Amino acid sequence: MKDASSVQDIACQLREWMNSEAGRRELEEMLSKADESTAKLEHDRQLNPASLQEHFTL
Amino acid sequence: MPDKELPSFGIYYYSRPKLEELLTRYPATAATISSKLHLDYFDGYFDALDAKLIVVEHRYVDRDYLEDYAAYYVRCFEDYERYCKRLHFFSCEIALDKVEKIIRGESDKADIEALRQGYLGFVVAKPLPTTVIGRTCLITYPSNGSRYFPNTRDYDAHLFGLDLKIQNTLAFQEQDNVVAACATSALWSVFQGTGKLFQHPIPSPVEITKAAAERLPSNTRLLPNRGLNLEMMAHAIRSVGLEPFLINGAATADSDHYSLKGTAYAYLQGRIPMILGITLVDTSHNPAKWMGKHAVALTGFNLGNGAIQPYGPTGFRLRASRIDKFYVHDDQVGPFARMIFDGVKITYELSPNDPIGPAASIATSWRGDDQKIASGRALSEMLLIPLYHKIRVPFNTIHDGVLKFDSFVSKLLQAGPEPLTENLEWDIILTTLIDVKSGIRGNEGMPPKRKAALLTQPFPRFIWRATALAGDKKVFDLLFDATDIEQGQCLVDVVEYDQKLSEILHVVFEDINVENIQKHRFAAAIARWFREHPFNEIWE
Repeated sequence: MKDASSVQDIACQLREWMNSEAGRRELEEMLSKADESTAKLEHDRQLNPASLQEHFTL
Repeated sequence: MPDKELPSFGIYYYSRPKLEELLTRYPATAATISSKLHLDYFDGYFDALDAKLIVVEHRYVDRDYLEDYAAYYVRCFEDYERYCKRLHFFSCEIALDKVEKIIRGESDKADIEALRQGYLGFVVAKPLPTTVIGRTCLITYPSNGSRYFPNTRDYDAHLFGLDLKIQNTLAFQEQDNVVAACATSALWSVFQGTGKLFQHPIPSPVEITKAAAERLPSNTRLLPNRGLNLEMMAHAIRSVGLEPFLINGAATADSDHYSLKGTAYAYLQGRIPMILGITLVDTSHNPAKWMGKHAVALTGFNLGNGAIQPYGPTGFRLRASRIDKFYVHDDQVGPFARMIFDGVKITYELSPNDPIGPAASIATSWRGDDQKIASGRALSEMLLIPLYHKIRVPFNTIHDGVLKFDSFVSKLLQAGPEPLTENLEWDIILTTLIDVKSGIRGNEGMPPKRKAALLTQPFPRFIWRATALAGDKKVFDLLFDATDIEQGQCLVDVVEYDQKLSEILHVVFEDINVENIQKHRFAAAIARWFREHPFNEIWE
């Protein structure tokens, strides 16, 4: 990317990148990875019903 | 000077032998009391608090013990007493005869003030053979800037007409193995916090055990009580008008305890104490041996100085992952006992030749068969969080939404000419409209028009706040309605702190095609907020 002289320039360059094919592809990849992360978390959060009857006794 | 012993009170210099003596009611059990882990723990704790004096009220009526006494002990053939002793601890160096004068009402204001300033709290000594630690209110460890006890409250104590205050603590007591097991004691401590926070009556240990009994298996007797299961604990929580929110299974036991730390931190910062269920393993054997399941009240945490461990393939950086210690009211150890995340994995046997693990474990103060402190280690099993019914949207929903937004916005901010060196850091906590508005009111960098708009805007009572930080600098808060329905977008507002990043985000999102990220509804809602609120309107 080019050097940017103002906040507006930085923002405009980022907007350009976001709307470019490469930008869209990279952001889409990140969102897919985020889906992977949350799917794993969701899986780990399944309650374990077997433990509901175990007594805490110590 | 000799210790002062008088009929209704006693005044002593603090020492461990004196503490043991004062806690012992039955000479036959003195050796057992002396070997209790509580004594080691209290001695270390009082050393850290610099305890100098103990003042004892000999005939003290403790409401919790009295309920237990009326429900069980009074009908024993053995003549158990109904009165307790209450031991008050002080860190001030005042001569014993001066303390006596204060108690008798003969002293001057300066001495009284010195005694008040040095008050460390009290321990009620129950008149039982071995389970003697009753209601205990002690100040927390001295602050070091990284220890947090967000769900503590103030307690009043009256010593012969002298008003004393214990600020920022939470009451503790050990199980008596009769009307209360570990889970009951942990619930009792948790209700000390939620009772004040959500305005519900605080039941005594026997009342908690009885409330849990509606889910009691038919083959088990209620009293003496040998422990509660999860369903029974959940029922006890419902009995005070709160909703039990359970997290168990793999979510509490992943290798770096990511979900456990994140969830506990978020609700603890909302001042809600909770039950932490653990399996204890005796590592003094090789292989380590299963000891049993135990419940403690989770009351605080320590945020270490180590780097955040980024989570998952997007490198999500959650502030809570810096937690390196939990502080718990462990009824078999003491109040604010440390549990240390030291990364040690252990393999143990539930039965001979049946190895389980390696599993991520947590260091505790428990003793294994070798009697060495810390040879008992914990495996996290579950979190049970008592919630006010209007706190509906769970931490998971907010965490996952923010993770998706972060994957998008951090990548974006790393792509520019002045890129962020790493992802934003996220601090996700449950809070209230009062705390949010107090924060806004105290924000001196906020433009007056924006401040007035936020202060006068109606907010829900409970709010999830996700603060984004770049380095140590706050960038913005995302405020989500914790009382919303889960399918809603929940986003209430965004509070911005960093004008430069704010301008960038407003410009970037000006023409974002939200439909492209529509399936990530939180990310879409946040992007839409930036698009619909022009930079100039926010910062004018």
